[in-house]
Amino acid sequence: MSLTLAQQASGDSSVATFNVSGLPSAAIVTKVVVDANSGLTYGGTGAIVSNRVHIKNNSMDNYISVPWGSLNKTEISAGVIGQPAVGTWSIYYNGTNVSTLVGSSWKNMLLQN
Amino acid sequence: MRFPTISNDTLKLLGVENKLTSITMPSFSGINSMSTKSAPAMSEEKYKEAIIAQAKKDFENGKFGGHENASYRTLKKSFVSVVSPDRKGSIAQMLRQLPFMQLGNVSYLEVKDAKGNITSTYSPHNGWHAIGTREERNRESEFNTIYTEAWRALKAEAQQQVKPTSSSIDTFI
Repeated sequence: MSLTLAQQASGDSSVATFNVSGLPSAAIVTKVVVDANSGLTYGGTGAIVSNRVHIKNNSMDNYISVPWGSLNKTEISAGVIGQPAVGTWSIYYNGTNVSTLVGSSWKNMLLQN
Repeated sequence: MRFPTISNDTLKLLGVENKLTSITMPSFSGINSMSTKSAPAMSEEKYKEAIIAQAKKDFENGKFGGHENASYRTLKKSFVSVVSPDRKGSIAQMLRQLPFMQLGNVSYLEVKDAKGNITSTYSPHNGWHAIGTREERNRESEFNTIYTEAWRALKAEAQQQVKPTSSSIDTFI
């Protein structure tokens, strides 16, 4: 999921998808944890602060949106508990380039599950 | 110095094309459309019966919810959208308020409800996304609970029926 922003701008990253399979068909979600500590890379002239994580599976209409967790670890329970686990999941994040330096900054998050 | 305004059509004729996509309304009809407030299609009691009937039908067909399951998704959308915000109205209103020349220059938009909660976002690379409200999350959770309990009860019943008992074993002499 990559995000490039001009100074002081906010925006959404690209959407990454992943498949959950190999579970019993009636498996349901109890909790989702997004741990971004090992997958983040930065570049450019600024600094992007992540604001929120958005996630849904392909049988849900709306994204669940939660604040980015402290130490880059976000736990999501409300809205995902009880959802069918099997299927394709989509995830992206929202950030703000807090730098006052002219130029753009980018942030990339590698998806590993 | 005053610079003349050049329209996108003129720029195209000059071979200069504006690569930015003009922002348009998302779709609000069909199974993959964005959720917006709708009137209930039936009473709460009938909804519960319909969800249990859907679970029964899916169990008999070896399914559990799913993206490809059109009747499941239609019922879920109908059930949840009763509490959805009026995304159609709020997005239309916001687009009307945007100056025409900015329609093709939007890099990010957030639409919020009266409480300040984000209900939808737009970015040129992702398009429109609906962000579920607390009411929608609770309503979807209620749907999932009724559906999953009914589905699992059917599975337990089916497993009970296939357990071999001494009286069900045929013996041949």
